Amino acid sequence: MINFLKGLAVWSLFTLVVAIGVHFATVRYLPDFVMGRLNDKLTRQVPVNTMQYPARPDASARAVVKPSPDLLYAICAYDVSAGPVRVTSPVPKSYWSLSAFAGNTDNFLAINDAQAGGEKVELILVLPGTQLSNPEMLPVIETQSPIGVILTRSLITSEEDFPALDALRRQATCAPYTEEVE
Amino acid sequence: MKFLMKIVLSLLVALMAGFISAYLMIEKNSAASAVRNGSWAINTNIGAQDTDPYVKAHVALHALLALNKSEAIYFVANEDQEGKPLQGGCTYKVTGQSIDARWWTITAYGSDDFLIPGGEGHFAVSVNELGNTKFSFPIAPSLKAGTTGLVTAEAAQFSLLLRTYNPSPSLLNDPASAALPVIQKESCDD
Repeated sequence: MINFLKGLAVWSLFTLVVAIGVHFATVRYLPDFVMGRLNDKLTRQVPVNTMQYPARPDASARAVVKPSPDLLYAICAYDVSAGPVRVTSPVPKSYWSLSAFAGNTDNFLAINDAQAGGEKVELILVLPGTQLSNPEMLPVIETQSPIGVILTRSLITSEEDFPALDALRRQATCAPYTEEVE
Repeated sequence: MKFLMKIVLSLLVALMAGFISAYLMIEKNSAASAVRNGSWAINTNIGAQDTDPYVKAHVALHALLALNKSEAIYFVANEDQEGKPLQGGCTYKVTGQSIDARWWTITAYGSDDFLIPGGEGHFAVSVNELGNTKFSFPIAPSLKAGTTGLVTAEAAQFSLLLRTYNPSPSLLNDPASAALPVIQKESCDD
């Protein structure tokens, strides 16, 4: 009987320790897992570091939870592990923002139309410590992780303005940057 | 053989317990760390780098690609004024006054966190339609075309998300005291 209880205690302790490990690993790595799945989804049909222009969200929009039907999005799955990535976007006259998300969902950059200070935003995403010649003197943003997502949001102010706004957001780009210094 | 079976059984139980407890804690901890204001809950740590790992996991599941508070804050309502879950078969009246932000909008989502099928033209209402004054709009299983309001027929339960972009300092610093819309149940389908 004592041996049985001892055995039960050992197995229970083993199970508990593993369960605690699974619990904390799930909480810690769930954001990376979900962002990884989103990156996979975004790069299934187009290469990484390419801007995409999804349709205005409706009930069929299933790529990302809680899409806003008031906004037009442009989205790019970036990967700076092979080199910097250049992101450009025109800035419309209504509410607009450009944001960057790390591989663990952290929102490490957000610029809106009022902060943009012009009709166009251009920036370079790099891994921390990357040296750039950057002759155009573009803002350089160090990413928190090699992969992540760039997202622009453009407010649809009216149905009449929709075609012009849609055309403008389709000018946003995301592509490898090639001015890196040896 | 018996030893191997014990290990397999133990690992199965541990995996189940680990996943289930993580899921429950992610849901519960996020609710517990949110600031309440009537039917609405807000967590201003969304998107922040130094936030609680449970909140971060909750964002991954329910608010992926949400902006941090420097740009926007989000209020979520899962219940009406009396604390009852929001149901797709019921009609509600939402009343409020303009919210202190550059732009704001209220969107209805099904329990899967996506826009509710059948709600075309009535997925969201914003300051564009409601204006910067006192407002009132319905949430109902169906609405006439052209009516300002939200349609929720095909959702058993739903939630509302109030997005506030570029919130004023007072809204950002004290969301618990903000005058937020009141969600009042009027009737339910039998």
